[in-house]
Amino acid sequence: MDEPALILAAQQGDLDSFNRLILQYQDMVYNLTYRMLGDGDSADDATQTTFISAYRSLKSFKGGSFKAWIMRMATNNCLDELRRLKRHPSTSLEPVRNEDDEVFDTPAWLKDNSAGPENTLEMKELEAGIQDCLNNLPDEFKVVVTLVEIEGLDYNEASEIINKPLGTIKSRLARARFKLRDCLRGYMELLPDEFRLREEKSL
Amino acid sequence: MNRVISSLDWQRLSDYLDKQLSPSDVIKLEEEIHQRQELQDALNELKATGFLLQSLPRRRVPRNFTLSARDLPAPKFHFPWLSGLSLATAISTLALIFTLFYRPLATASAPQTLSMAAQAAPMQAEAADTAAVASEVHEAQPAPIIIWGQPPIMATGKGGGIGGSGGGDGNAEMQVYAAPPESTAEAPALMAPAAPSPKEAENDVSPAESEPSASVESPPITDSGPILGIRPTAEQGQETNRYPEESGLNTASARSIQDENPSDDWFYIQLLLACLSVCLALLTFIYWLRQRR
Repeated sequence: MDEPALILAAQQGDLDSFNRLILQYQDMVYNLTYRMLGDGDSADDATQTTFISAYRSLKSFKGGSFKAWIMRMATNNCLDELRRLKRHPSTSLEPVRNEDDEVFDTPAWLKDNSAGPENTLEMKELEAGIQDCLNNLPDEFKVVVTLVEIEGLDYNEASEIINKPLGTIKSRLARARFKLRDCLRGYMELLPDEFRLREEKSL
Repeated sequence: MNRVISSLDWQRLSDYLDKQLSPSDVIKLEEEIHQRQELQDALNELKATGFLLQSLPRRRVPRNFTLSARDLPAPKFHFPWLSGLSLATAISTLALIFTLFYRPLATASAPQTLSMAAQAAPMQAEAADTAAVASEVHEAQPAPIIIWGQPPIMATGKGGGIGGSGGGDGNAEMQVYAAPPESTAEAPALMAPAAPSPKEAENDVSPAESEPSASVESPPITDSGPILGIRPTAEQGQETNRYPEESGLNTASARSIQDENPSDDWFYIQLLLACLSVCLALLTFIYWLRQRR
């Protein structure tokens, strides 16, 4: 069953069809919410809320890109949650980093064949550093960077998701990259050798 | 060499990385990059930043987010008439408050109106009588002022009065009687001057004496009038009560107040409004709670 047929069936109340759409997009939505919120539990809640909201308002979907529609819902949920956290800041009693977090689809340069504890720790530090830099970005920059750089969407899709013109997407992305460059300078020593060699070659 | 990279340069480098520049702009920027080392360094840093972001590990979803009928919350209860119900509650409550406050005002103003009306009639009639008498005897003698229970004194208007038969150059003669009248039989005697002098007797024309000669058609005023606020006797009271009956204003006021009979009607109105307010408030609260959940 193709996606338009699933959407049509879900709009007529077929929950199984909608669940098949969920299985198709849950990974993307969860990773977007995770990078936006920087917390696994918050990302879990935001993802669930996104799909429930999507099912409720499925009849308002008038066609177009279902991916952009569902990602827009996820983005709006994340922005609402970030605003709520700014109004009511809270400190978690749990450890900042959960060592049991599972990672899959690790890029080649992060794969640790020796599986030594030092390399694993460095990789986690690097990821924590990048996530920290992302968290310090303004929300409107964070959305664009997450959609374009991390999720790999093109400018048009990002423009459709956050409902801003293409020029705004370009401008925000350039400024976000500038801010991230300054922030990530402190983590360059954590880059793996392969990346350093590429950097030296490019220089 | 300019070492500062402007925001426009950053924008161009970012667009260059994402292949958003036109071919002519690409050629132009690449020439600048070859000429300016700082642009080349900035481009490499941008590439490294993008590489780091794109190389972030993908998070595995902790569970499937598929929905079941149990997961879906029940449709939210929505009562479209809640605002109207709230408005009706407010209006009924305001009406109840109005009746609660209006009731004491009405009861307080009713006797006052009645007494004022009762007092106004004899005063008006007396004023008319007095005016008629005064027109006749103004030149001869001013109206006497009667004080009960004091020895006779003659008061003078100018410079104060001192006891004695001489009134000086005052205009009013004060006649004092020994005691207030206890009965109607004693009243005419008490109203008579104690010892008027012959000259004063000629000039002294009391209101009671002048009434029969007055041209105004009003009942004769005896000693039962409102002079000094003395409660009239039963017979005198009958005479006094003739004033409100003859005065159209007083009759209308008294009848309207008597016809309203607010004690029962107001109570039932208040009771009805109170019940209505309570019922509406309860309904509003229940629907508001259900809608809030």
